[in-house]
Amino acid sequence: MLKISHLTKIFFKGTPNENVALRDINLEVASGDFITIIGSNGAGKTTLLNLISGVYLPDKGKIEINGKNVSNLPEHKRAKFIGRVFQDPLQGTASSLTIEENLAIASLKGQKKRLRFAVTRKKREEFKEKLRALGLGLENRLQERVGLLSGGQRQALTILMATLSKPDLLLLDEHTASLDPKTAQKIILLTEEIVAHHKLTTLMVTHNMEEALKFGNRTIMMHEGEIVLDIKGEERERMSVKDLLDKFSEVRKERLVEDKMLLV
Amino acid sequence: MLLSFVLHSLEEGFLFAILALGVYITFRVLNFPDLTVDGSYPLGAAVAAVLIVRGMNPFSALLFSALAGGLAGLLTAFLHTKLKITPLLAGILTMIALYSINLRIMGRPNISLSEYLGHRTVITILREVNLPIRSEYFIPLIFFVIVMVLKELVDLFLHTEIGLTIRATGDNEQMIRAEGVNTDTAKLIGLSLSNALVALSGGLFAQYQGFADVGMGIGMIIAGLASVIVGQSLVRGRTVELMTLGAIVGAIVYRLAIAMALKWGYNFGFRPTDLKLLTALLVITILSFPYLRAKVKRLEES
Ligand SMILES: Nc1ncnc2c1ncn2[C@@H]1O[C@H](COP(=O)(O)OP(=O)(O)OP(=O)(O)O)[C@@H](O)[C@H]1O
Ligand SMILES: [Mg+2]
Repeated sequence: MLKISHLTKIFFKGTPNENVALRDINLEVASGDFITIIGSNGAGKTTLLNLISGVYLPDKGKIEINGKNVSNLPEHKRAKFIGRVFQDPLQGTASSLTIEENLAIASLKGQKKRLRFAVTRKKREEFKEKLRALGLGLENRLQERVGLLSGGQRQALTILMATLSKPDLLLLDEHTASLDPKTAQKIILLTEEIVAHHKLTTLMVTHNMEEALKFGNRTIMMHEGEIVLDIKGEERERMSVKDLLDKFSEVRKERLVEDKMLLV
Repeated sequence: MLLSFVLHSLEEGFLFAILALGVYITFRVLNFPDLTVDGSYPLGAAVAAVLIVRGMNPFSALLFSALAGGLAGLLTAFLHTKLKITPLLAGILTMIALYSINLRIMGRPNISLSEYLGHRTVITILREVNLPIRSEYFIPLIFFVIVMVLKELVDLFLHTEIGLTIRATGDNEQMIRAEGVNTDTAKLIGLSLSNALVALSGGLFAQYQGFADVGMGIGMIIAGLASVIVGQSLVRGRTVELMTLGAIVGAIVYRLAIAMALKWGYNFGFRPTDLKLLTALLVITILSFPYLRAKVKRLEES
């Protein structure tokens, strides 16, 4: 459903600060896959998600969604296939708009915007229903500005918004990282529930190894712009957090040795 | 005497309020500091004046004023979204271009609209209406109704699907793009609507004062901004309805303050030509007030 071939992204190309964020990435994601992505800071995880959703265009390579080449489609035209939740709770919602207005925008995703009221009585009922399912009491606060919500509440709302129009692909970028442990737990369970319910194809970046193995059906590890590990099925079942950490430092060391060899 | 002073200030305040509504849309809703205003306000005046002199119905002339203002806003938006020029610069460029364009439209720096020359303005028509109340009261009343109708339309618009995307664009561009909205389009619509209102205000003001002048736009953006900021401190609340109301109240208060300064200011040595200086001082005071107040508080505590 998602096919990435030879994807390369270089920041500040041709300057002394040139930085290869992604190096010839190849990745094929099947429909219904729930992939967790791990990797050290600066490995290129966020850049990968940004390229898939069209925030930047690649320097090389191709991105296909459902067989359609979207490599050169601007972000707002890809949005109808893609739902996103970011690390920063402020990023996924408009704080000066009310809860129902934010949801209305999400419900219109990929549709032509018209000159008619955005929040109708029918929609309001539908939003109430969906918010009630979150169990956060937000269904009684439809007309409050989102800026008044807590980080966890905003993130829950963002997940709801991202999945409201049943995207083909859900991209989650450390979306629980800025929350307190209890809220983070709640949000991750909510995520799993929604993903399972709609059978969404999902890529989830996380720094939590336990989470990476516990959720989803496949795990990839990135390092310095490359995919260095891709496990699923039985191999993944057998893997413990310790194994994964070992693999992690192994990869790092290997790279270090390679780099040294290049130097001599 | 005092009554007529108040009525006149109110009339000017209402006309100003239309401009303030436009400024509210760019500065507060789109978060786009749009300086086109100084050009689109006299543009509206120029278009209305020329069309009226040529014999057009003054109400239809206003439609063309608004249309011209909308085009000016489109130009600024185009410079910003397609040519990637910063908002401030894009606005200034349109403003400066409009100075020449306004002169071309008028053919000279100043056009007089006068009953003696046979020109019919909105004011002449309103005076002719046969009503039990006197035109001194009737005209401000009509202006008030016009402002409230425009406010209502802006409120309604900002709650439509298109309006919502414009508000979200000003709030969180990244989010709204991820929601599949072309933020360029949102800015084009917002800026043209704003400048249409500004030009409408200019067109009405030219008819009200009986002339259009190529220099009448100087400092209008600051005046509009002052209105919006004053209004925000008088009408608290963050809903669209309260914020547009704030812009209107702010415009009226601002206009009253200016009129009072002009009327009684000479006691302290003010001249009418000091008006822009006064406006600048007023805005500086308002903008720095929260900072200075916090500073004074800190000093008091220590
Ligand atoms: N907009 C940008 N401009 C320039 N360089 C960038 C930009 N975005 C990312 N980079 C660089 O690309 C590299 C990969 O960054 P990226 O944000 O993808 O890492 P990440 O794996 O998400 O890391 P983290 O776990 O810290 O979020 C880094 O070296 C970063 O400095
Ligand atoms: Mg990241």
